[in-house]
Parts: sequence; structure tokens; C-alpha cells
Amino acid sequence: MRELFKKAVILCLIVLLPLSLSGCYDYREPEDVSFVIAIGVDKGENMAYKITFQGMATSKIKSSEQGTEGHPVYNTAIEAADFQNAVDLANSFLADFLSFAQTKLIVFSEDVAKEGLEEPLFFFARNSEFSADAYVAISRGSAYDFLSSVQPILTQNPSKFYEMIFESNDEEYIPIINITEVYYDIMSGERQPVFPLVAVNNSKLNQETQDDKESKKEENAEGKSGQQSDQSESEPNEGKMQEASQSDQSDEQSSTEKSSESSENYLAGDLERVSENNAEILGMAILSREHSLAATATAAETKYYNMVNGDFDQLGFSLDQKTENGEAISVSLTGLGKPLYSIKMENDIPHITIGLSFLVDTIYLAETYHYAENRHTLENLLEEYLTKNITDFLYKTSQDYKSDIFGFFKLTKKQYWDYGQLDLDKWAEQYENAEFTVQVDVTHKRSGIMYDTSLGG
Amino acid sequence: MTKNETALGTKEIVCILANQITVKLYIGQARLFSSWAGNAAWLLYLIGFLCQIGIFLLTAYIYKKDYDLDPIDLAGSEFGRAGELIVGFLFLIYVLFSFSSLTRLYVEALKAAIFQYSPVWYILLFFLISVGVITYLGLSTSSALHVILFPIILIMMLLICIFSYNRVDPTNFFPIFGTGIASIASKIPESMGASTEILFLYFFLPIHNGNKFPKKAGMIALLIGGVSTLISILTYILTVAYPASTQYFLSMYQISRLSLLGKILNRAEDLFEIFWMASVILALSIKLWLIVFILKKTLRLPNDKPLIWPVCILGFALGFFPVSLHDTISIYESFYTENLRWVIAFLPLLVVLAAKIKKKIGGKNHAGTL
Repeated sequence: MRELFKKAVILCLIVLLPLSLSGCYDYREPEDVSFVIAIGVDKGENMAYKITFQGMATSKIKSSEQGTEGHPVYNTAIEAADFQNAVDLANSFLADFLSFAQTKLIVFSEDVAKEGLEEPLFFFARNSEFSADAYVAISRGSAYDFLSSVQPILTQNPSKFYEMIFESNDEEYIPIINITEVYYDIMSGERQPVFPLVAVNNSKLNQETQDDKESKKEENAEGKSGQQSDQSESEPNEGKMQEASQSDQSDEQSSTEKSSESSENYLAGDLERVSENNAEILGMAILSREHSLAATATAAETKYYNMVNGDFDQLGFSLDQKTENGEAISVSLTGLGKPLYSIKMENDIPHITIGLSFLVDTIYLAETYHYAENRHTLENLLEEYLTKNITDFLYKTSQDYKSDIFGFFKLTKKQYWDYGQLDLDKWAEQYENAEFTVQVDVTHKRSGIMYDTSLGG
Repeated sequence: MTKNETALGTKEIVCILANQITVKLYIGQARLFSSWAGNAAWLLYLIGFLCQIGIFLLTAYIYKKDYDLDPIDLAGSEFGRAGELIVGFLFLIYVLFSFSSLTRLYVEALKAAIFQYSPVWYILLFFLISVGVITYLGLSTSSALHVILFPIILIMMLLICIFSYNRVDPTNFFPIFGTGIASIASKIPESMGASTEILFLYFFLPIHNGNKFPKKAGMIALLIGGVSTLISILTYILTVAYPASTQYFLSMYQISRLSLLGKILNRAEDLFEIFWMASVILALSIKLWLIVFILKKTLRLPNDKPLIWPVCILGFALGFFPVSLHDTISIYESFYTENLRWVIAFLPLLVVLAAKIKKKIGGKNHAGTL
């Protein structure tokens, strides 16, 4: 018995022996490793690509406060023939060993995306060091600029920031997608992938605030030296004020125009806002059948995309259409079951029907709006509004973008016996002529903490 | 090994055989089936599996009276030394090829997935020590290890499949016949070979502790191995869209990367390698035991222990010819999986049939002379 036990112990140890392999050639001290949390891919000037590594200096995480000094994140860019070449070259000047085990985000610039994403994407999709869940995005402008602008406010760790933004089902303004799904889509050609759109915020409001900050810094510096006269100080300020008031007027005008069309017609980088974090993730980029950038969709369109896909838990919705008294309505939508799709082919034209059911919680109603009397009117109003906008967006994908981003083709596969019968080229032609019918069913469920928000009940 | 030294029960036989059948999943069995039939890989496997059950039941029926003779003994008893040598040589080629290819492909898989900076020879050294020592300690200890570890390995495999539910795309199931009925039909023999390892059972006959042919143990092993392989292939084709499904050399690893477990526990997919590694080491130790067993029988050697280490080293070395992994995979697929494996699946049936016919003819002649 003792002999058998001895044998069993020895054998278990032997079976587990290869586990100790990780402590040999693949051994790395954590402080010697720099975990790359994001990668940017731009077009290079001298070489094919400019690859940006956003890395974490693990040794700085413990002690640092948020700020420029001691910040645990660094961005380094290098021009190289391909990704592996960039890694090898980066290791020649970075002391730490680059590890991609914790890479959360891969950003491709729009220039790279326009030339086709097949090649650069495959560097990452085929590399086992990257997580299969790594997020991908396309940046308006340079990917390096975007990564450099990431300054999370509520968390010191950009890795956490990426997780919270790209993975959350509450993020209604971006599509939720990862590198593996994109790779499968590109390989099969059965759906044209979409990417979250990212950019550096360049809104006037943000720029003005930054200009103000800079001028305050300058003033402080000047105050200390005490060299400048009062007159010379007042002139530029007055000039700035005039400019600011002019831009305010033009802003008001443009924002009024915008709000009359739609309150969410923004692309990443255009949102009028002020924040220390200039990185903006809003809207989506749509690939063509040739895997290059075909179009960008606004925040509102991305919301419709998520609705049709059923990729959301709950989303806020402000109705642009006014009530009879000219007040806006804010509601919260929850999907009631998964969207239902059906496709019928008639004379080589796909007739696509999409059934969407939502539950609605009212968040804000004008005091003049008599909810108790107008509940069904509100439901109808929402149904009409959503039906129209979603249908418009669907036609846009088929006629303007010519991209089957919803993967309707996949639903037609049931009709065929084998892959020999499938014809993606034919589907591409058919999809351009597709007829869409959207059936939206809205049921009002709650009205917040008030039974009726109208004055006098 | 004689009946006195080692006695295998039903439990041990089931675990050993089922592990031999499922271990191929870790070297890309799902990908291979997908490359043959597209998204109908599950259908092709199912057809091949049902054929293999049919062959096994037929062989078991004919074999039942010779339940204490392995195929080499059976060939020797009816066809003399020549029969022993031919049958022994054919089985030896099959097991040696199976041993070398599993070694090479799994070690390369480990390198690609986890030990990217370790040289292959170094990983191989650890495997060589583990496999060699387990085989040296004997079949009884190896079978005991199978009984302990195989259920855990199986549970982990099913857990990966269950936790991949979030990545399952039901549209990947269509078109139902994948690359076409013709391509499925043409690959049925090859797919039948996916459970050829059931023939190891015939070599356990002299050391089986029962008094009849262990048909029940064989059937249970086939069902456990076959059904778990089928579930894994189905999960693979539903999570990895065709034609990307024909690309992943490490198909099971790819499923584990996509599973929810990998998401909850960050990069947990590498953890599964522990169980796969155990499965491969156990499978290799049984293959090594069988090679040595066949050599001892066919060459009529008095002792098999001195052969273990040289054969182990030779088998591992053979795995590295040719040097290019791509060439190895090509040879593995074109020679082993597409030809040798399924042909060998019929060998026990052919041996027992030939022996029966010979007996019958011999009996008639004997009756005639009387």
C-alpha cells in the first residue's frame, strides 16, 4: 500500500513536471516586463506602418498619482515594415520586455483602414500572445494622437478605462466587437465588420478651454516676472473675447441647426464638451466588402445598429420630435427579447423584416404633457420615430455603404444545402436592392417616481 | 506482461481508450474535420464514428471466443511466425507513427500557445522524462493514473464547451452539408479512422481481468470518447466561422480562448493546458507501452524494460523528421490520417477473420483425412 502511494505521488509529480517549463526560457520577472495595453497602427512615412505601443510601466503603478509625472503609461511610436518588426525594433531601445498578454485595444488609423485592414489585422489575429477578446477601433486622424490623448479621469489605469468603455453593454454609441469576430467576418465575407470610431476631441468648446488654460498659465508666468504692461495684456484678451463671442454666436447657430435635425448626429471628435480626457469614442466605422473603410456612422446611427443587433441592455433616448407644446421627451429603452429577423426572396430581391420590441421607462416628460391621457400617443410617437430612423439607416447601409453590416446573409444560409450554392457576389448585388420592413413595438412600462408629470395630474 | 503482473478492469480500459480517442482534439482534430467538410465537420465525424462502432461490434462478435489472445498471438497461432511478424510490423508502424506525430504536434502546439521562447528540444525533454518514467513503472500504475486524471480532463473539456455558449453563432450550422455531400462521402473512411485507437483494446485482452471479451468496456470507451469529441467539434464549428475554422492549428485552444471562462479569469485559457498536457503524457505512455509490447512479442524478447528508453528517444526523434512543422502536418494528414489510420482500423477484423477461415479450412481438411 505504501509502495503504491509512493508510486502515485511520484507519477503525479512527473505528470506535473512539464509545468515547471514556464520557469525556464519563458521566465520573466514582472518588473522587467512592460505590459502593452494598447497598440496604434498608422501609415508610416518611410516604412509601411507607424506602430504605437501604449505600455504600462508596472514599477510606477504603486507609487504614482495621476498626472504627467510618474504616470504609469507611456506611448512610443516606431516606423516598421510590420508589427513584428516594430516589436523587435522597440526592444532595442526599451529596457523592458514588451508583453501583449494584457493588450486591450488595437487602433487602426483611418488612412490604414482606407487601404484595407486585411493585412494589418492579421498580424494580431494570428498571434496567440494577444487575447481573443482584444478590442479593435478605427481612429479619425492618427492612432498615435488618439492613444496619446487618453487621460482617464476616474481611473488611473487606462487598461480599466478601455475595458469599461469597449466592453460595457451600456455603451450605446459604439458597437461591441473584438478582434476575433472581425477576423471571422473578414475571412468568411458573410458580414462586413464595423469598428468603434475613436478620435481626439477637437470641439471648439474644448479648444477654447484649453486656450484659456494656456493663457492662464502664461498670465501666471508673466505675473511672476512682472515685466509686462497693463495695456499690452488687455489687448489680446479683448481680441480673444471678441473671437470667443463670435464663435459662441456661430456655435449657437450651428447647435440649433443640429438639434433641429438630430441631437446625436456626432462622430467621434466632434462632441461639444470640455474634459481633461480628450479621447473620444463615439460612432462607428463601416468596412466595405473589400475590407477597407467604406463610411463612418454617427452616434445616433450606431444606436440604431445596436438596436437592430440587440446588443444593448438599456439605452437612453431623447426624442427630437417635440410634443404638442414643443417639449422634448426623454425615455429609457430596454429590449424585450431578441430582435426577430425574417428574409424572403422575391424576384431576386431580399425582403427583410425586422421585429423589435421595447419596454419604455419615461425619464423626462414636459410638465405640460399629460402622460396619463397620452400614454398610447407616446408609444405611437416612439414607434413611428424609431421605425422611420431605423429603416432609413438600413437603406443607407444597403444603398449608400453597400455593406451588409448586420450579417443578413447569414440568415439566408438556411436555404442552401452546401457552400457550393452560396454566392456572396450575387448577395452583394441583391442586398443593394433589399426592401426593409421594420416593425417596432413599444410598450410603456414605468414613469419613474411620478405617476404623472403634468401639472395638476 | 502476463496476466499475473497486470490486470486491467473495465474502468481502466475505458479511461485509457477514451483518452486515446479524445487526445487528438488537442492537436487540431476539429480543424482537420473542418478542412474536410467545412461546417459539416460534426456530421462527417458522426458518420465515421457510427461506422467505427459497426466495425467494433462486428470484430467483437467474431473475436469473442479468442478473448484471451491479442492479434499478434492470434496471427501466430494460425499463421505461425510469418503471421506474427506481418501483423506485429503493421501495428508497430501505426503506433510508432501515432506516437511520433502526437509528440511533435503537441509539443509544437505548446510552443505556439505558451512557451514561445523555449526551444522545442527543451519542452521535449520534459515530455521524454515524464512519458519514459510512467511507462517504466508499468501499465498498472499508468492505468491507475488514467482512472484518476481522465475524468478531470473530460470535465475540463466539457466545461470549455459549455462556457463557449456566448460565442455560439447558430448560423454557422448552415448550410447543413458544409462543403457538399460529395466531399463528406469521400472522407468517410478517413473520419472512421478518428476512433481507430479502439484497437488498443485487443492488445489488452491477455491482461484483462474478465473471462469474456470486454465488449462493454470497448463500447463505453467509444461512446465517451466519440460523444465528447463530437461535442467539441460541434462547439468549434459553431464558435469559429467557416473558413476561419480550417485555419486554427490548435482548435481546442482556440475554443478555450473564446470561452467565457477565459474572460472571467483573465487569459485563463493557458490553465487548460495543464489538463491537456496530462492527457497527452498519459496517451503517449500507453502508446510507448504498446510499441514496446509489440516489439517484445514479435521479436520474442524475454524482457521489455530495456527497450523503453531507446524506443522513447527514437519515437521522439522521429517526430522531428521533417524539420518543418508544415511538412510534418502534411505528412501526418496525407499519410497517417488519410491512409494508414483507417486501413489499420480494419486489421483486427481481418486478422480474426483470417484466423477463423484458416481454422475452418484446417478443421475440414482434418475431418477429410479422418
